[in-house]
Parts: sequence; C-alpha cells; structure tokens
Amino acid sequence: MMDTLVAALRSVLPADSVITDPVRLRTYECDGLTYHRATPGVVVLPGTAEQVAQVVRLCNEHGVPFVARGSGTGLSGGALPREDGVLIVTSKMRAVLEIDLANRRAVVEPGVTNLAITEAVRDQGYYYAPDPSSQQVCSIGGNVAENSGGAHCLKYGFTVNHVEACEIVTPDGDLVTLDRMDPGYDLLGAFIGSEGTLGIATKITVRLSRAPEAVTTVLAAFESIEQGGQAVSAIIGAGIVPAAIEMMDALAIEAAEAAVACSYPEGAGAVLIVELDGPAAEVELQFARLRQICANAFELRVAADAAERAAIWKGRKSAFAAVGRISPAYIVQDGVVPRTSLPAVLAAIDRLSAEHGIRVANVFHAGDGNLHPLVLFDDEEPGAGERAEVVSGAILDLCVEHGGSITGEHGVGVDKARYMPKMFSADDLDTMQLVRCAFDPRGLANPGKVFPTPRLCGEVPGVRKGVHPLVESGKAEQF
Amino acid sequence: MIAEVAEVTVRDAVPEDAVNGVLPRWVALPETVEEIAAVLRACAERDLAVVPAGGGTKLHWGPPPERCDVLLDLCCVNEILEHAAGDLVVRAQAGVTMDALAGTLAAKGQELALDVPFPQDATVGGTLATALPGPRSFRYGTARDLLIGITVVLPDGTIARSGGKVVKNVAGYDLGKLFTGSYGTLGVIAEATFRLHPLPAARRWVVTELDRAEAAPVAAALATSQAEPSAVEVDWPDPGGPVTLAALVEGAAAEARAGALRELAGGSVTEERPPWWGLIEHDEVLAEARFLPAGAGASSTRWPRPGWPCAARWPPAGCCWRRGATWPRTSWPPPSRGCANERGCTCWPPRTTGSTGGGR
Ligand SMILES: Cc1cc2nc3c(=O)[nH]c(=O)nc-3n(C[C@H](O)[C@H](O)[C@H](O)COP(=O)(O)OP(=O)(O)OC[C@H]3O[C@@H](n4cnc5c(N)ncnc54)[C@H](O)[C@@H]3O)c2cc1C
Repeated sequence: MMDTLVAALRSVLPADSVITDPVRLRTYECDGLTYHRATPGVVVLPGTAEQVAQVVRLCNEHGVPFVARGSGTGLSGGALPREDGVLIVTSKMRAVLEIDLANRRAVVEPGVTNLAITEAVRDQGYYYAPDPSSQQVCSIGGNVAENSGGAHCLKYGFTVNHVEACEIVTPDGDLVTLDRMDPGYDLLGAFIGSEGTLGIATKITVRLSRAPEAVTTVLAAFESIEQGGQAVSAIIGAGIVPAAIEMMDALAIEAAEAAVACSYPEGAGAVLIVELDGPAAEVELQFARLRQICANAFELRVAADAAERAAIWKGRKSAFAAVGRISPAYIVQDGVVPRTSLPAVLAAIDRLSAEHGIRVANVFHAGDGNLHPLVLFDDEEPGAGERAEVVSGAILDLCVEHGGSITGEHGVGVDKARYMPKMFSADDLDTMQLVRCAFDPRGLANPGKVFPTPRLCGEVPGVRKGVHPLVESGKAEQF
Repeated sequence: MIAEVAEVTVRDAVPEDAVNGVLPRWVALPETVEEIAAVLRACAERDLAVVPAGGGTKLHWGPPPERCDVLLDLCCVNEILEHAAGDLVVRAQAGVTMDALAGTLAAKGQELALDVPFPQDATVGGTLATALPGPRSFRYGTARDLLIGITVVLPDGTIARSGGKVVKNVAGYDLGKLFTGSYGTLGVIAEATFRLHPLPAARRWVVTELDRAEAAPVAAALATSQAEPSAVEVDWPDPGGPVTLAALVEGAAAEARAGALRELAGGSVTEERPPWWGLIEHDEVLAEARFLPAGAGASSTRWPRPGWPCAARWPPAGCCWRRGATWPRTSWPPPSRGCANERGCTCWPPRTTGSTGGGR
C-alpha cells in the first residue's frame, strides 16, 4: 500500500519533496512533546496548496491517514506522525503573499513563522497580536490548528480572534476558503483550534493590529504568592485590563535566576509582571492606579526603555527551559482555572507536592487563570517519573473540579485525549464527533488525536448501547 | 413519553404566533434545558417541524419557514445563572433579554460588549443565532468572539456542551462557533457563557460631516489611530449629500483621546450618542452587505461551495428542520395560558413578530 502511494506521491511532487530515507524520517518522529515518538511512513514537503490537495487526494485513494506538521513545536503531540501514514510538512510554504495595510490584513502561507508576520509590518507601525513564547519558530498554520495564545492574549485574545480567512484542503482533498465574513455557520471558527483533524490550512489571512502608542512594563515583588494573587484580583476589580499579567513563584524565580541571571528582587515569594499598553493618556492613568494597588509590593520596578522591558521579560520567557537548571527532568503542564480560584488551586498544588515528594514550580498567565506548573523530578530515581505523572494528572483534575479546562493553549493532541471525558460528557463528545464526521467521514485527518475513543463515522452517536465494539475486541481503550 | 412532555407548558397557537405568515399549530414554553430537550425529543419522534424563537425581533427575517408545527418559545428559560464578577464571566439562559443581562452586569460595573439592536426584546439565544455585529465589534469582536461556552439541544433532544467558563480554553471543538449565525438550523441554544469587560469609565463621540471624497481616507485614519477608537461609523442617508462620520472612544482618558481624533477628522467632541448610532430603525434594512474597509477584495473559493442552495437564501427563515407527518392533535396536553415561571416572563399574551422591528 505504502509503496504504491509513495510512487504516486513522486509523480505529483518534485523528487526532493518526498522523503523515505529512514535517517531523515527520524527527524520528524516527535514534536515538542518528545516522549511520544513514531517514525512516519513517508514525509512530503509540498510547495503549493495544490500540491497539498493532491497529496490528500492520494491519501484518500489509498485509504492512508495523514498528519499535518508545521514547525513541530506543539506540546501535546498533535503532530505525532503515523507509521502507517503520510506526514505533510509545511516548511516549504513560507511566503508572505500580500500585505494590505489599508485593510489591516496580511495573507501568508502556513509555514510562515508567527514572528515573521510582525517583522514584515513592524516598520510601518503594525504587528500581529497573538504572541506565543515559541513565536520565533512556530508556524502560523500550527497556531491556527492549536488556536494559540500568548502572554498578551488577556487583552487581545487568541489566534481565532485575529484570523480573517483560511484557505484549507478538506480531508477529502478539496481546496476551499473559509471566511469570517461568510454568512451562515462560522466554519472558520470551528476549524481554528481543531488540531489538524478537520483539514490542512494552506493560506491564512490574518488581521494586523496597530502598535500601541505607549507600553509600560512593571515588575512587582511580593513576599508571598497570596499577596501577588490579591494584587491580580485588585487590578481586575479596578476595571483595568492589562495587556499581560504574569506570575512566578519562588521556585520558578530560583530556576530563572540560575539560567539567565534575570536578577529579580531577592527573597521574593512571588513576582508579578504587569504590562499596560494603549493610548499614552490611558496608560498613564492606569499606571497611577496600578501603583496604588501594588502598595504592599516590597519592590516595584518600572522599565524605562525597551532594554529594561526585555530584562523584565527575560526571566519569565526563559522559565520553562530554566527549570532544567534545578531539576534533571520535568513535565510542563497546562491547565486553566477561573481566576478567583487561583489561591485555592495553588494551595492544593502545594499539598499534592508535599504528599508525593515532588517539587512543582509555578509559572502562570495569572490574568486569565492559565497555569503552567512545572513538575520536577529526577529520572534516575526509581518511581519518581510515575509520581510526577500522578501529580501532573491530579493538577488537571483540580482544574476541572474548579470549573476550568484541561488545556489553555497547548492543545489536547495525543497527550490529553484521555482527559477529555473528565471535562465533557459522552453526549458532548458525540456531538463534537458529528462535526468531525461532517468534515472527515473517513477519519483520515490526524486520527487518534483530540478524542479518546475512535468512533466510526457510520455509527450514530448518541445511541450508545453496551461496550464499544472496538473496546470489546481489544482494539481500543475507553478512558 | 407524553407524561414527560406533559410537564411542559403547551398552548394552541393564535394568529399572532405566525412566523412570517406561517402559523404553527402549537407553542411550547419550556422552562429548563431538560424541558427543551423533552419537547425536541417528542417532536422528533412525531416528525414535527420546530422553529425556536427568542424575543421575536428577527424571526421574520429571510423567507418564511417551509413548515412550522411547533413554535418553541424560549422566553421562559430566562435565568441569569452565574455572574462571576471576579472572573469577568457570566452564564445565562437563552431567554434572558439583552437589557436584563446588561442591568445585572452593570450593577457590578461590567458589561457584555455586544451592542445589538432591539436589546429590550432581543434575547441571548437570538443574539447568538443571528450573530449581528454592532458598531463596537470593531474593538471587542462579534458574538462568537465573546462567547466562551455554550449548551445546545440537538434536534433529537441530545444536550451537548462545549467550551466552559474560562476565557482561555482549547479543549475540544468549539460548537459555539457553529451555532453563532446558525438561525436555529442546527438545534436550540439553551445556555451561553460570555467573557465580560469592565464598563468604560467614560465615553466620547467625535462627530464630523464630510463630503464624499474625504470620507474614506478620514475614516481609515480614525480607525488606525493610536487613540484606539472602539468604533467608527458612517451615516450617509442621501447618496447626493454629505457623509457623517462618528468615532467612539471609551475608557480612561476618553476626552484627551477624542481630542486626538478630532485633530484628524475635524468636527466636534460630544458625550451624546449620535441619534443614528447603531440603530436599525423600524426594520428599514433592505440588505446587509459586507466588504473590507478599503472596499476591495474578494476571496476565490467560498464555503459553502457555489451552487449550494442555502448560500443563496441565507438566513433560512428560522426553519429549524423539517420532517414528514404531523402529530395527532389529541396527544398534546391541554392548552394553558403562559408558564408557571415567576421571573416575569412575556410568554402571554403572544408576541407579534415582524414589521415593527421591536418585537411586540
Ligand atoms: C518553548 C515553547 C513555548 C511555547 N509557548 C506557547 C505559548 O505561549 N502559547 C501557545 O499557545 N503555545 C505555545 N507553545 C506551543 C506551540 O508552539 C504552539 O502550539 C504552536 O502553535 C505550534 O506550532 P507549530 O508550527 O510548531 O505546529 P506543530 O507542532 O507542527 O503542529 C501542531 C498541530 O497543528 C497541526 N498543524 C500544523 N500545521 C497545520 C496546518 N497548516 N493546517 C492544519 N493543521 C496543522 C498539527 O497536525 C498538530 O496537530 C510553546 C511551545 C514551546 C516549545
């Protein structure tokens, strides 16, 4: 099967765009979540939308699954390849096709990096607002698939709020455009965040934002995480919507200090980074209010220029990698709780940590309750990895108990598919499956991701009777 | 089965219940999500066509329904379930009117930043189902951008949820997006959760009258100004006459920012909303056209594909779904007047839809 497919692929793509060499295939065996690995059956590097469509049509003819991949920075195994499938990599589709400042839009190919869009328009005073920490490398196609956010999404929203249209190749190989301005169902909105399971984006129209007139970045150091949390509530309570509110606890600060010498105030139990932006007159008023709110901070630093702003952000932006300095191994978790539940959830994480003898460093987007606990362990120590897994999973349970989410920005992928039933009922998941089947009746687009049980599209969701046939035959597990 | 539906208030339709000239046979008045599901299940089993309705302010838009056996009036499903002010989130049932919602939120200094027409009668469910953008969508986005969680009831009675009550959440497909703008064709919106914004500290409008040639470049300059207006609107009632341009500035330092906009556009700064701002007066809308601000651009392929019948006649007239036979008259519970709800429903006397633009 694979051999005839490879021959067909070679007939529609240039020779250097079809990779079957086992050594080169291994480059693609995982994304940013490295403990799930699979060698793809074949890798293709199409250069045009039409080529992507041809590849998908060939996959249909041969009944072979396909997985899209951008830059492979995803943290939930969404781009994990299939050994029996085709990996479609967008790295040759890197053109910025059109910049239309009059309409504040840019049209780009899916392989363009997030930051490249901003770089193309920065000199004219514009930028592309969603700014994931991985923005130097991650692709806009990957952002669309994951509905990526960034530190500034508290004020500006996510990818879905900044994409105007997508040209996509549907799972059966048609090239169509989903546009925000189309009347009727918001198919564009449904496509964004679908993690490659509803088709492949081949051309993306993004909205460009005008750069703010003023930006004020503040670092506030508190004795305890509780005090930091109170300041966050007070800021929101005062009717201020900062561009970003980030928090780090003592352990995360220690790691950042060891890694990048960010010289945050010594002895801080928590630091808060608050960024205000907008019209200068507005920012000035908000800053005055912020100063009052942070009266009990034992140190308040205000960035005087771009270099000082970068210095404040440096510790925060390096936090994930930095924990490598204080722990041999770690798990990056991603969960969300309502902002007002932060104190209770942080206390519960403390208890979990003590109970299992596993350290947890907390770095989070405090403004929107998005936690990124870093669960630290020593992989040489027998049983430590398992205990870390338990703590990491229990943190997601806490998020769900408090009315939050199992993922705020890293996606479900393969990693969290088994947690979906904790957040959604069987009826909820079946209804999502109706959407899946409408787009991808043959189940060829990134199968095995997002949803816990493979349901066949012929089956009528909603009428579940007894054990699923795939579970009964041992072909699938239901979590 | 009937025992189950018997709990739901149902009355015979009267002429005022007609949807665009099509008279339903019954009006069902569920009061909970479970009751909506019971009605839909019962109708599905009996092959009855159902048209869901909120405040009736836009029910007559588009062509008449092909069939309408049961009007599912959601006005009694009208509880504001949770306003978590500290989280800037509200969860409300479909029948809550936009004005009632705004009142509750304003008590805590917050708002749902959607400026929909006819807020007195327009409901949460109908606002989502029709997804009309208002002027401030320029800054805050449209209904789909502020919706963070939804509960829907499918035609077979299945109750399904997606999203949740946190703003940042990428778990699972976003069914809310599909239901915004669906005009009741996918099922019934029963509950919705929205992200909120603080009520702006102050508001100013910059209003200026220009001739036609000046209007476009000035509008563009306003829209991209770093004074960050929330909306830029055009009123041009007489094609041969001048164009009135107005920009709204909201929040801290509104006066200073409005001053900056006046530098660009001329005119005057006022605290008063222009009389024509965001209005759809007496349904005098002939058509809604959408185009890019600079007036250009059309994308190549469209979805639904060209030639799909529905693309040519959207909205599809509140027609939910159609089936074959009808339900024997005798099996409905005896008609009653209005529901047992004590939250001040408007379910009796029946509303009149259409022509007045404001519902009743
Ligand atoms: C250090 C680090 C920091 C990060 N910080 C953030 C952050 O702040 N915020 C955030 O949201 N994420 C963050 N991420 C996660 C990741 O960068 C984002 O999810 C990003 O959008 C993935 O883009 P990618 O091009 O690498 O996609 P990939 O990893 O290649 O793919 C991700 C998913 O998208 C699908 N896909 C890729 N391209 C397409 C396409 N053209 N059409 C359809 N589906 C496609 C894949 O099948 C897969 O399911 C971070 C990751 C790292 C490693």
